[in-house]
Amino acid sequence: MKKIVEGEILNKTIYIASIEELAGKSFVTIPLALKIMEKGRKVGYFKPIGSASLINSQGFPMDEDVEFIKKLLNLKEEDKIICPIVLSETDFLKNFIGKNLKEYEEKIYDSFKEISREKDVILMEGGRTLSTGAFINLCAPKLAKAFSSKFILIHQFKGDFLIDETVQARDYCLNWGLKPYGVILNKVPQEKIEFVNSVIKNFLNMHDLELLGVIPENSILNSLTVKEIYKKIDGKILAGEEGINNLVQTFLVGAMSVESSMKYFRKTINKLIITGGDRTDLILAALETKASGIILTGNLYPSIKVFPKADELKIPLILVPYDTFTTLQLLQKIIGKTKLIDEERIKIAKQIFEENVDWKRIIEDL
Amino acid sequence: MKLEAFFKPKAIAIIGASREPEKVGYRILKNLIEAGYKGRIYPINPQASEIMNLKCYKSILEVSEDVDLAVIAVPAKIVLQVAEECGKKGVKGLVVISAGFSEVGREGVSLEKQLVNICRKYGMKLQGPNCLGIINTRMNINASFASATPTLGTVAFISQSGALGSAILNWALENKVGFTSFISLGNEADLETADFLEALGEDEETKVIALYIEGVKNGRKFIKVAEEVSRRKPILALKAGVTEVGVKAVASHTGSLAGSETAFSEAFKKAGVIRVWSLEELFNLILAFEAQPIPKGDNVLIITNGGGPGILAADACEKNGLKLPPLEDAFVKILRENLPPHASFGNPLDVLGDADEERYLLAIQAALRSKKINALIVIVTPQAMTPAEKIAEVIVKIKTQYFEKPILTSFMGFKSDSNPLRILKENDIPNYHFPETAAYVLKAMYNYYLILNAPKEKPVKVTDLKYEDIKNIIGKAQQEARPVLTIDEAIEVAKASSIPTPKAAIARSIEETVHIASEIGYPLAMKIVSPEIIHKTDVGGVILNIKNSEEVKNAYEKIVRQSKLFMPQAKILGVLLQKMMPPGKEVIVGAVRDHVFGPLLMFGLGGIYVNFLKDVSYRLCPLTRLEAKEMIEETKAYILLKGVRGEKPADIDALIDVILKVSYLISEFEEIMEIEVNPLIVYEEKKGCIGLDVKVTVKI
Repeated sequence: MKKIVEGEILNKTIYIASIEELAGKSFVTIPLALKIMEKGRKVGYFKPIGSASLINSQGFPMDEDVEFIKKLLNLKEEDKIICPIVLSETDFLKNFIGKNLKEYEEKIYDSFKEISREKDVILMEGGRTLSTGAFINLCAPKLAKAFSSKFILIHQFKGDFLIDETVQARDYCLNWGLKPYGVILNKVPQEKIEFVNSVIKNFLNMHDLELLGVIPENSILNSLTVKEIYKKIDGKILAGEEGINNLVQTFLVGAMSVESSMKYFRKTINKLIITGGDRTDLILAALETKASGIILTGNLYPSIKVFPKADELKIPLILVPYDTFTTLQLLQKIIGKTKLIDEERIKIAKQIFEENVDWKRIIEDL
Repeated sequence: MKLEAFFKPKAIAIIGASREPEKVGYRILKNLIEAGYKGRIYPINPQASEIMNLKCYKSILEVSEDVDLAVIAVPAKIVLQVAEECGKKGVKGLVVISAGFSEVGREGVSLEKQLVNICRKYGMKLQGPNCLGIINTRMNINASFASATPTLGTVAFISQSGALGSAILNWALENKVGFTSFISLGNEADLETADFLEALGEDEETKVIALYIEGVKNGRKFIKVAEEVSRRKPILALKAGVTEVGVKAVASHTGSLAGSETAFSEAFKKAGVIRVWSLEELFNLILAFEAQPIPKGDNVLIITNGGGPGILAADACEKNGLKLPPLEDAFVKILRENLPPHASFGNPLDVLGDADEERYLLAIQAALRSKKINALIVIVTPQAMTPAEKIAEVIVKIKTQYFEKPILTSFMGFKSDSNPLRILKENDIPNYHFPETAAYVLKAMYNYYLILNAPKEKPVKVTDLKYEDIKNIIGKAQQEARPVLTIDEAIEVAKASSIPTPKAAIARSIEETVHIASEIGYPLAMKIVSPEIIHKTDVGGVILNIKNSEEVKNAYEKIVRQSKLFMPQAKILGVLLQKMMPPGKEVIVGAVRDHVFGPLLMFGLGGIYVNFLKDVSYRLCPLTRLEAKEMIEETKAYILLKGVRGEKPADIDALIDVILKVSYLISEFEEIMEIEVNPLIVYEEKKGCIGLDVKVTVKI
C-alpha cells in the first residue's frame, strides 16, 4: 500500500480550508489561482474531499466547484481525479460500510500524483470544514501536513467569537503537527474593518496566527443572480431577459392586495418576487417596485400586456411549473450559496482580493 | 376650444375607407355621411376611385385642401406610414381606430411608441389607438364604428371601454338622452381622459360629463383638470376595478396598475367628481343632471298618492342624509282647504289614492313656492281612478313655470312605453321606477351643490422645512441602498420638518449610553438602531421606562443581545435614547405614495388596535387646513379627542399642524415613499403633541 510520505512532493502546494461551511474558500482559491497564473506559473487544482452537489457530465455525483474551476483554469484532468472522494450531502457513511479505509488515502495520493504532473503550484481546497474526512483519517490538517502545504484558514466574520474559533482551529492543526500559514477573514462588514485590522489582528498575533487578509463584505458577491436561480427551479424566462444578471438577496411571496404588497415590496431591495402567473396586479406592483426578478408559479401564463414593461425595466419574468410552496423550498436550498461562477463576479472578487489580501507574500513564500 | 381638430373639424379624412360593408372603414364613412356632417369628407383608399359617391384618394397627400382630422382604420402595420403622411399633410388630429398596439404586447408597444413619436414630430394630437372613435352631435360628426348615432343633447361621455360606449349609445337612444359628444379613449397613447375632460369643460353645449374609467395615466393631471371642470359642470364617474378581483381584471385588461381604491376615492373627492358604483346609477344620474337644476339644499318634499311608497321614499331620503321638513303653515292651510281632510299634510304629503291632476298640481305648486323645500319627489301609483297621463302633463307644465327646483318622479308600475312615461321622457322629467332611486339621485345632486359651494382653500405650505438636512439624510440612505431609514435618521427628518419629537441621542457603547442617559434625563426609552431591523419591537429592540444608570446598562446589554439573537445578520449601529413622555391620546399620522395619485395621507387612532379597528381616514396630499380638520372629524378617534366623561379636549390644532407638516414633507420630497408618525401623543388643548416613533421609507 502506498503512503504519502512527507517531502516526497516536489510541487508547491497551498491548502485552503475553512473553519465553517460557506466561509468563502473559492473566493480565495480562484483569485489566488489567477494571480499565480499571471506570474506565468502553471497552476493545478485539487479537492481531495468534495460534496456531491451536482451530477456531472459523466453522470456521477460531483462537487460543483470542480466543474467550474476546471474550465476556468483550463485543466485537463478528469473530475474524479481532481476530486477523488465525493461525499453526498448528508448520508454518506453508508457508502463506506465495509470498505478498507486505507484505499482512500491511496486514491488521494494517486490523484495528486497525476495532477501534479507539469504543474508548478497546486491549490488544494478543503471540504466543508477542517475536520471533513476525519472519519477516514483524512482531515484537512493531516493532508496538508502530508503534502507540506501552506495552510490558509478562511473564516467568516460574525463577531468577536471568531478568535476562539480560530485558536481552536489552530490547536487542531497543531495536533497534526501542522502550523497554519495564516488566516484570511471574509465577509467583514465595512464598519468592522478598522476593528479587525487592529484589535482582532493583535489577538490573532498573540496566538501566533498571521492575518493575511481582511475581505470586506460585498453585496454583489453575496447575492445570487436571476440567472443562477431560474434554472434550478426549472424556470422559463418569458420576458425581461436582459435583467438576467440582476442580483437577488431575498425572496418575497406576493399573495396579498396590491396596496399591502407595495408597502412590503418597497422596503426591500434585490428581491425576487414569487407570485401566481394570474396575479397580473401583483406582477405590475413588483415591476413598479423594481424587483430583481418575478417568479410566476403554477405554470400560469400572465397577461402578455406585462411583457413589454418587464422588457423595458429589464426585470425577468420566470414561469415555473411548481406551486409557491415547492418553489420556495427549492429556493431555500440555493440562497446564501453564492458561487463565483460568472465573469462579473470573478472580476470583482479578484479586485477585492488584490486590494485586501497579502497575496504577494503568499506567492513569494512559495 | 381645446382639441378643436377633434370637436370642430372643417374637413375629415377617413383613411382606410372601404366599399365592403363588413369593414370598419365602411362603417365609419357611412356613419359620418349619415350623421349629416357638413364639412368636407375625404375617403382615402389606394384601391378605390369612389366610395359612397365620394371621390376617393390614394393617399391623404393627394388631397389639395386642408384636412384637420384623420380617422385611421387601416391594419396596424401600415398605420405608421399613414400617420407620417398625415403629418406631412399638416393634419392636426388623428383618431386611430386600428387595433394591434400596446394591447397586444411587445411588438404593439414598440409600434405605439413610434406612432406617438410621429405625432410629436408633426405636432399632431392622437386619440387611441384601439378605439371606437369620436362622435360630436352638434357638428353632426360620427367618426366611429358604433352602431348608433346619438341624438343631440347636453351629455358628453368619455369611455375607456369602446364596447361599453357602444352599449351606452344604444341606451341613450332608447331613453331619449341626447349627447354632445362621445369619446372612446382606446389605449390613450397620447390624449388621455384629462385632455378630453379639459376640452369638454370649456364646451358650452356640454352640461354633464360622464366617465367610464378603469384607471388614469397621470393622477395629478386628472385631479387638477377635474377640480376646475367640476366647478363648472358635474362630472359623473364610474370607476371599474374596485374589488380585488376587479383590480386583477383591470390589470390584465389594461396592463397597468390603477391607483389604489382609497386613492381613487380621495382623488374623486378632491376633484369634486361624483362617483357612481354601477352603470345603472350612472344612467339614473345622467337623466337627472342633464335635465334638472341642482337643488340648493337638502330639504325634500315627497308627494305621493300611496302611503307605502311614500314611506319607502321617506326612509330612502333619511338614509341618504336628506331632510323631510313639512311645508310652511300657509301652504298647509291652502292644501287643507282643497284636499280631503284625511289626506296627510306632513312630509310625505299624501294626496290620497283617488288624487287627480288638480290635487297633484296644488301640492307641487305649494312645494315649488315654499322657501323651505329644495327638491321634490313625486310618486304616482296606478290606482283605478288615477289620471296618470294628466298628472304627467301637469308636472311638465308647471315645470316650465318654476324651473329652479328639481322634480324627480316615480311613476311606479307603468310600462316604459306607456303614455305618462313617454310624456315625462320627452319633456326632460326624470322618472324612476322606484322612489328609492329618486332619493339616491337627489342626494347625488345635493352633493354636487356642496361641491359647487365648497370653500376654495389652498394647500398649506410649511415654511420652516429644512430642505438640505432632509435631502442629505435621504441621499445617504439611497447611496447605501437602504429603503428604510434608521430610527435616528427618521427622527432627524421629522425634526427638520418641525414635527415635534422627544429629546433623543444615539449611543454606541455602554459607557456612552450611561453618559447620554444622564444628559437627557430619566425616565428613558431605548431603541435599537440598525438598518436591517425594521420592526424593532419584534426583535426585542425597544425597552421603555428606564429609570437609572443601572437599568440603562442592563437595557443596553439586553437590547443588543436580543437583536443579535433574532437577527444575527443585522448591523447594530447603536441605540437611540429617547426621553419618555407622559401619556396622552395616541394617534397615527402616516402617508403612502400612490403610484398614480401621489402621496395619500392617513390619520387614525393609534396604539396596538389600529390594525383591527380600521378607524382611519385618508386625503390626497397636499392638504388644506380644512381637509386636515375634516379627516380628523371623520374618525371615531375624534370623539375621544374632543374628550369623554369630563376630560379636557385634546390639542386638535397641534394635531392638524402635524398632519399638514407630514403632508407637506411627503409632497415636497418625491423620494419619500412612506412615512409614519406612530404613536403621536396628543396632549390637552394648548399643550401640543409629540411623535414618539417615526418610520420613513425612501425610493431606491
